Amino acid sequence: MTGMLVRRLAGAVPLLAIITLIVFSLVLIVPGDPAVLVAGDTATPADIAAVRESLGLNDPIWEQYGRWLAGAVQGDLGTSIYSSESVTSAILTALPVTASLTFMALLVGTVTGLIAGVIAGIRPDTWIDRLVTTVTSVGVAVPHFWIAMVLLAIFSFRYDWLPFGGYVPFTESPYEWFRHLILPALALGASVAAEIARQSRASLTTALTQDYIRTAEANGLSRFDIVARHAMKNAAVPVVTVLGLQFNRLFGSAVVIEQVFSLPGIGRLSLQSVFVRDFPMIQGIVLFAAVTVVLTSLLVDLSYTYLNPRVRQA
Amino acid sequence: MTALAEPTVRRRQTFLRRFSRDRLAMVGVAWVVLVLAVGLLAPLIAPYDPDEVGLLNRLQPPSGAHWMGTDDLGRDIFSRLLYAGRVSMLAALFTVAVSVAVGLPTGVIAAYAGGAWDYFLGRFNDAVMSIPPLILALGIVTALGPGLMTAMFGVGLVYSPRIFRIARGSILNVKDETYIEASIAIGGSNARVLWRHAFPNALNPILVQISLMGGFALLAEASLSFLGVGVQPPQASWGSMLGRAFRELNRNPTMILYPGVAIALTALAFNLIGDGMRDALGNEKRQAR
Repeated sequence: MTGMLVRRLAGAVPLLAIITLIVFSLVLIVPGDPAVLVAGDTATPADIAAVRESLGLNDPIWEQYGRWLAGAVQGDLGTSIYSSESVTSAILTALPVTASLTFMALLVGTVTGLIAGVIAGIRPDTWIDRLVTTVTSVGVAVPHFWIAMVLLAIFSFRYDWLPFGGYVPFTESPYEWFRHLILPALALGASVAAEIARQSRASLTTALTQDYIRTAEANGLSRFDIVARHAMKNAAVPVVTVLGLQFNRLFGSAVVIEQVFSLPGIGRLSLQSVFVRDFPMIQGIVLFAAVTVVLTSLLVDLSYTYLNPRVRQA
Repeated sequence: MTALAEPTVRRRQTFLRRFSRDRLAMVGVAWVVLVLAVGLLAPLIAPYDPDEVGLLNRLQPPSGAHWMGTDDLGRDIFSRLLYAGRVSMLAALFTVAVSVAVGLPTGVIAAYAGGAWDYFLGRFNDAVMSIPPLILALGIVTALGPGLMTAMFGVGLVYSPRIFRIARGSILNVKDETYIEASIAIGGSNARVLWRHAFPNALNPILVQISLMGGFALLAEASLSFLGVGVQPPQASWGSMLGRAFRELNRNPTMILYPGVAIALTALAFNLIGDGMRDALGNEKRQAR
């Protein structure tokens, strides 16, 4: 187990190195001079020169990259051009919001998706299976921010049951935290639920046709035991894979949901940086998101060893 | 030469026959064709000029004169929906084109050249895939500036690893087949072997992916235009129409209905086509039904 962890961590290093190159080169694809862009329309040549100096654009590219990378490794992602705030602290301030949102969305999505998938999977080709299959196919095609607006229109504007936006930290009031996050989490989690339901249904129907299930049946195990203890554990591997992939997508989709519900998370931060061309900020966010995703997929890989002992020997 | 080409042709016929029997996929094809046709013919079909502002007609409910009502500037929503569909579909097409233009040649090179090329191109694509798509697209838009073309160019780059992987995989699949060896042995140039023999085998799985990506691209366009970094006014797409409708959500919630349903149905249609193609190919393990 430890050996595998070390191997996997070592494998992630070249990947992370290339990610930093991609993130850094975002500045290089700017058409024209980034300094002119950042300084704005009313800048004098002196302003532009000052910006160029403060961004370190006069140095050779490799030196710029080295300096940025050395900072990033130590957790220093530079300073926002727009607010003069440290990028790292801005991200850390926004992180609890996005983390709460994605956590709730994953939870809501996984639970509903698993329930729907298992119900459909143990009764293939019945009306309930067809219902689940239809709803999930439609579910992956509906834009999540559209679901968000529909939920808002109903629960906040029409009936005034839930707040229409904003965020309350968990430490301040867990109840208000939940009330502010439930609609965004439902909207964001809908597509997760659809994917999980599809995948768990497919892998459960496959698992239930295997020989070891027939053996378990022959041994007189109850239907519940067969599904819960034997089929589910094998069916879980592809479901966990989907969960890992969904995390990557959720992080991006959260940008739009945060905008709809005025949640001051990382998505909002990145959108603000787009309009003011805040390069250090957007680079910091892209890097942070990528590293989070890489670490998550490491965790997902490690969970396989628990779910499927054969992987351990590989 | 014709004898060698025959299996590919036969396989394609089987594929088309199976695909055309898939009723759901055919519904998807019909819907996409309808949306494209309506978009192309928008100037003939639309009852009003989509940009005609009528301040006395603001936020009207659906009526005989305005089938879907009017928006916050009094513009006819039905007419706008037709024109916006054109923009959304073109944006999706452009995105997929960028992905293919980047992913296909690099995938072929990685598979054909192998070695260090394969390693670096592979790791590079892994890296791109581990960045959340919308966040990376926002990064690219920060660099290139907001606008429909730059935003969709960014999304196209972000999705190109999907094409890369499939192109690389399918070339690797056939690379060691006897018929490839044979055509190299009889003196076929690299380009000729690739184009005539390896490429046709890679085509079908790439088509599946292109169709599925059409759906992703449509949703990505909607997200970015909704956020205001995609299409810029006065031009409208389904996504930016949703953005406008969002601002009127409290006063006129029905406005979100039409563009939302249009996006969902079209994305669903692309998915149905992609699923149908994958089933028709039959060489991937089909999911238990």
